[in-house]
Amino acid sequence: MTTKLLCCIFFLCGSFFAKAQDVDLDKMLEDEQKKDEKNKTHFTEATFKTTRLIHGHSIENTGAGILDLKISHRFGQLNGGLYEFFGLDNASMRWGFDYGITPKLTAGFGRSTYQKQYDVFVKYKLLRQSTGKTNMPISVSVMGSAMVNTLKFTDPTRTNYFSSRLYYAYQLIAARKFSENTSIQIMPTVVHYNLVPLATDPNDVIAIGIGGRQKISKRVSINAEYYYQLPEAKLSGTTNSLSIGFDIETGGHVFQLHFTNSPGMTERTFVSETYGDWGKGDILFGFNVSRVFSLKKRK
Amino acid sequence: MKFLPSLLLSFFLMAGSEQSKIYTTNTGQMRFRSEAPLELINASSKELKGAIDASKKTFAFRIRISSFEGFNSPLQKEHFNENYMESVKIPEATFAGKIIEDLDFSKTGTYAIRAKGMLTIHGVEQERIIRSDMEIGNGFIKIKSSFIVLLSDHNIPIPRVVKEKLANEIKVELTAELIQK
Amino acid sequence: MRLTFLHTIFFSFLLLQQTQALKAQGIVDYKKVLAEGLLPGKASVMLLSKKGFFYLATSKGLFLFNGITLQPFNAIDSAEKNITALYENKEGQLWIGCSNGSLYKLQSNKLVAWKPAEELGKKSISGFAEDEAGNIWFATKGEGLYILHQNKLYNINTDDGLSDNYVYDLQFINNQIVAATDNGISICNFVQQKKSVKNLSAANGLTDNIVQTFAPDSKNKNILWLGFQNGGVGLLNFKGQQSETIYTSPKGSPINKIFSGDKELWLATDDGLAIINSTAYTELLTEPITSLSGLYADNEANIWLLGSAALYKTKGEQLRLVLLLTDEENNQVHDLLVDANENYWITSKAGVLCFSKKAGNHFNRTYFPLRVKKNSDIICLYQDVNGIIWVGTMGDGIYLIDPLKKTIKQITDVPNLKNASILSITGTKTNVWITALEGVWKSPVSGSSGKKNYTFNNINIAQAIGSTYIYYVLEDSKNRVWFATDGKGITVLENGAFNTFKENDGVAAKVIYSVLEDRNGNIWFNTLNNGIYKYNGSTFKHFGITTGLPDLNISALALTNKESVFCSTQKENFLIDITTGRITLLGAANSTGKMNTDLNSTFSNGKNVFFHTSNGVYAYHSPEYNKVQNPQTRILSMSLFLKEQDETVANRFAHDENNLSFHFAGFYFSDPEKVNYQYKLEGYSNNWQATKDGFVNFPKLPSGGYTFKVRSSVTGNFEDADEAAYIFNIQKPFWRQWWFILLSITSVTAILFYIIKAREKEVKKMQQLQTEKLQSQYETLKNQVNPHFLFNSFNTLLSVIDEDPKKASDYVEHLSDFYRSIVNLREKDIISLGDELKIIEHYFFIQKKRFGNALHFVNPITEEQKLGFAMPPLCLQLLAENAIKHNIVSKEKPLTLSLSIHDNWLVVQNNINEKQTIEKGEGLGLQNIKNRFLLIAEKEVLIAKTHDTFIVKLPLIKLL
Repeated sequence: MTTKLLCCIFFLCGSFFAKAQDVDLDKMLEDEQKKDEKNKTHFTEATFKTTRLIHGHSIENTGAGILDLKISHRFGQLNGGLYEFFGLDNASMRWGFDYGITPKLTAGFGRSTYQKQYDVFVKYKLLRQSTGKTNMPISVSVMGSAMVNTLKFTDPTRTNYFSSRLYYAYQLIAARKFSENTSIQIMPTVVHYNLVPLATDPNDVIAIGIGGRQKISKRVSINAEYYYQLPEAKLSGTTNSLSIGFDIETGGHVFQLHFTNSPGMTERTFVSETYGDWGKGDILFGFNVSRVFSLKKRK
Repeated sequence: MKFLPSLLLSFFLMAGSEQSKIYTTNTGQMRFRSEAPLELINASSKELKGAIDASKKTFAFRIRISSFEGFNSPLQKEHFNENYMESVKIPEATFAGKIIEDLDFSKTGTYAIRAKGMLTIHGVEQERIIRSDMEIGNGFIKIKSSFIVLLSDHNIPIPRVVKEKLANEIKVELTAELIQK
Repeated sequence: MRLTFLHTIFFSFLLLQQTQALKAQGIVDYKKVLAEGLLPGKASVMLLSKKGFFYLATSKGLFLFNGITLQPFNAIDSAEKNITALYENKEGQLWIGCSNGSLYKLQSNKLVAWKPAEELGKKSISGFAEDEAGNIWFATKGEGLYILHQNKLYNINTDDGLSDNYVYDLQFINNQIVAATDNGISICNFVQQKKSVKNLSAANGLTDNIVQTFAPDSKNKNILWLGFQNGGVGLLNFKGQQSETIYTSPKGSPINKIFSGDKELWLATDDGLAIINSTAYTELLTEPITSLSGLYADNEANIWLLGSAALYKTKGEQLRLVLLLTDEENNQVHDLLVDANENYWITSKAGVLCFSKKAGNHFNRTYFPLRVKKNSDIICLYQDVNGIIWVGTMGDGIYLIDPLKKTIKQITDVPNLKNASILSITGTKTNVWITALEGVWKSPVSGSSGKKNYTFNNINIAQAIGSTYIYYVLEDSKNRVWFATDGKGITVLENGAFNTFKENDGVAAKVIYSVLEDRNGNIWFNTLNNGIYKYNGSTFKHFGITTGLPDLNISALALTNKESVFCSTQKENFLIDITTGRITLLGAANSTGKMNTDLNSTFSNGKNVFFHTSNGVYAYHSPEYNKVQNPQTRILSMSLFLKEQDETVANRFAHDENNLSFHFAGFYFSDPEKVNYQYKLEGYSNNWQATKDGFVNFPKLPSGGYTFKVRSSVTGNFEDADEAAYIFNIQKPFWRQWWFILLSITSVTAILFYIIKAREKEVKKMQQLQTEKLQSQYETLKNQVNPHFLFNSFNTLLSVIDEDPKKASDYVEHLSDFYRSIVNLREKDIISLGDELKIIEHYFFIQKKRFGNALHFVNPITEEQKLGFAMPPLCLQLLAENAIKHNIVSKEKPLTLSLSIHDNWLVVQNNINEKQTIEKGEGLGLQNIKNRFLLIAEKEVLIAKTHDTFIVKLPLIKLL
């Protein structure tokens, strides 16, 4: 009796097997894919189009082994009128190289005509926004930079130390790509001055930056960047830097055009030493272009 | 209960004979190549999923677009995903259908077959007949195929600025070994 | 007009009525064109090319068939595959499908394998079709359909809803592709890459699910005829999509192929050929032909029957034996008539026979006996507007038969009709015309059929024509009456007046048999041994041997269903096109039996022309698909130095590509053996050359523009023949091109011009040199015989003699050497620097005697330099002379002249101490030096003057 029962069960199993074959393969793969997706971590990519938002750093790093030559221009103030050809007569420039040491670590240096500055920076990615197995809502990077002003000392009467013209900036960058088109990042920043213009000025300027991008087409996005300096920790007479610009992608390169009230292109010059006022029309036009070189040999 | 082992044996034999006819893989390889006058782009993925139902001659393949690696630059990969394939919106490409030839899957050997099905890339369906070499072995099927995909067929426009850098004709090659389930 | 009495005699008789079945054999004449030996391999499929010839495929490959022979195209590479389908698309591209699934295209007369990226299957290709968008579809036996759309291959099989993957045939109809499969009919569409399939099967009313073949109806675009495997034939009407079965083969043998003609369906079945009437769906014929697989119509409406081992040709629907008669019946046929109800009437022995159609090809035969003398022949039959059959007899007058009431009456009282021997009875809607040996009578008839009495008016023509022997009378649509006389030619009665056309009117014939009016109002008449005349109202056109008639003795004329006149002769019947006059031969008469040449034995009812032969009554009819009547001329290929050229080769040839040959053909399937050609090469000769070969070679053509023209004909009349042409150009060799000639002339002129100019320049230079030299000599001489010089010299000499006679003789020696040098060297153009220095040294010796230490001469020139350079003579002397002349030479202010050589320049410099009073000198000397150097050394002499030095730089001529 039991054997018969067993037989029945086995045969049922057998027929069940046969039944089980009747499946939609595409659906099966789709389900499997979904299951896979859950077990995998998908890192969010391309939060911003390039490593700079407008003036400051974005969350993006330069790819490992990629050398990025960046050339940026800021023209004079638009309210210079026709005499200054709306600022186009005067231009300040920064050129520099960024290099991706690892996918997470980028270092770079640059030279600006504005105050004849040299600058170096290091940016390291701490966290990557991801979905799937590991769910991380934001990406976080730290950035440290040092700048030196090499203008001739204006006051030769004083004892001038080299260290007195060194500046440091530290930034924490937290970003989130909300959707395919919208990304926002927040950049708490400290700019350290070894020497400040006035005795009353603080040696550490503290600012919180906020920036974002909104794509308006596949190849064009609108970017904005604003640094709010804490009133108790800012140099006197300075204003907050506000920039609005476009990223235009032209087949492999990103061309950035923007309007800003900051003439400088290093952290201390735009975060803490912006004197222009949008309200008064102290607006400058500028652009960034970059060209990448692949230094690592492709396999 | 002496007969129980023999019953179990017969069950396994039966189960063996009723063995699933579905062959699958998760690690198929797929590579593509764009040969434009100014730039050669290569990328490949090892995440091709595939399934063949030998009883019905049906098949399905699926690949995650963002799994392609090996572009000329990370920026290019980003553009591939963001601008051309829109891989967030349309994360996968699929090809599913039926083999035209009458095949006896119980016979091992190498066959030239044609797979007829819907090729869906960038969300645009195209009916395609794709030639493939198929090796049927004991418990596995190896397939190898190469074919051309036209970007214009799948509504992937090539902007004028990259016309010399991106070919409309993309050569695709795939190899996979599917194991019987 | 006078009244005639009419005696009517009624006969009471027994109508002999019997049913007669036509024997099936013989209704279609077919001829084996390619028998077993001539057809290589197993024939599979044929296709009429748009170019006019047939493609014929056998197991041995693809051939071009011209009606007689097969010419092979290059063989397909493997023996395992047979050609199973042929298709010519809209552009004339031939597609070839094979049993192993491979496809070929015919390109430049070569079979080229066609391999799509998707690759093809291994299943046999069974058919092609082309949809409205120009996509090529092909069907396979096992993999369904394939569509070639924008270079991509798509497949439709059962997964897409196709009724079965085993497809027999494809057809584009009603903007859809229809496939015949093992499981019914599938109606497919492919629009914007979307496939749709609709199926019809037995459930929808098809007789059988296995549809082996189909054919579109020849007239109705919405109808598709279906041939089933079970032997049935059905039709599918796309208007409303109804299907009905119309016929089932008695033996149930599968239908392999259908041809839809004007009135008939021709079916190729396993048992042979079957023909059914396509409106009444009755079987007309079955004919056993072994393994008949194909039916193809050409443009001349011949139908070709393709068996696997032989190819047969038939006249198709054109010619049909409609009434098979016994020999006894045949012997008595002098006239035939097809009445309004399509009953056949023929004259018989002492009576008239009427055959009326029953079902199928069976007839009821009715005999109407006439009370005539024993040997009287029944001559003519005519049905008047009332339906009454008029019968004319030889010797017994006229009888009238009412075919409905089946009554017969004799008309006995016709005025002046003594012998009662009737030749013809003709008529219009209003009149009946009777001709007899004694003359012509006219009897008015009207539309009322109840009429009992007839009047006969004797037309007095003897006076007008001079003969009463009239074969035929025609009253035409313009109320003219035409009389065909025996011996007096053609006479017309118009507006009450008779007019007989004479030779100078264009009518040479005297014996006219009959007259006919065509639909365009032309009058045609046939003659005894004089061919045919056509009268268009003003002129006569004669048709004779030269215009292509096969025979001059034309027994009868009849109007066909198209725009042509059917002419019967003993040899061969033929057609004349009403407008063009083109002759179409209908084939030798022997295939249809011996032609009855009795004048009245041809009849036309507008739809068919009926004529009588020793077999019985035939009907001729030109089907709708009879598109051509004469050979279609085509240039098949062009060869250069006997090497066949690609079709795409431009028709421009280089001057040495001048050996051209042409293969051409005139395709005429009705009688291919008779085709003759004429060709000419315009630009070479303007005369047509006759040939029977389809090939001509032109070697060594001179350069120029040519047009090769070829035309073909079967009648020998090429006037309206189809012509093919090939225009080409052989270019002149480059040395005969205008640009080369122009360039040559220009360059020769330019070279000549240059040579002349150079020569002129040379001469001028020589002349100038001559003048300069003369002037220099003159100057020098003038200077040397300058009395001051002589005076000074002699003064010096005088003082020296006193001082030292030895020195004096030295001095004189130098003086004489100096003069000798001048005399010796002055003629020369150039002298060596050494010679020149000798002169100056002599000169300075003389002058030094005079000036003593006040004059210094510095000469560092080496011997080598003296020999290595040359210069015009006497220049240094002149310079020295000038220096002494212009400067103070004194102890206080000595003059130093020094020479030196720098880079081929002889530098002559002296210090300046200018005299207050300048000695006379025109400065001519310096200018003379300059000119001579310019001419000889072709360099300027440089002269520089500082405040204390005068420098002259002379360009030396380097020797060696």
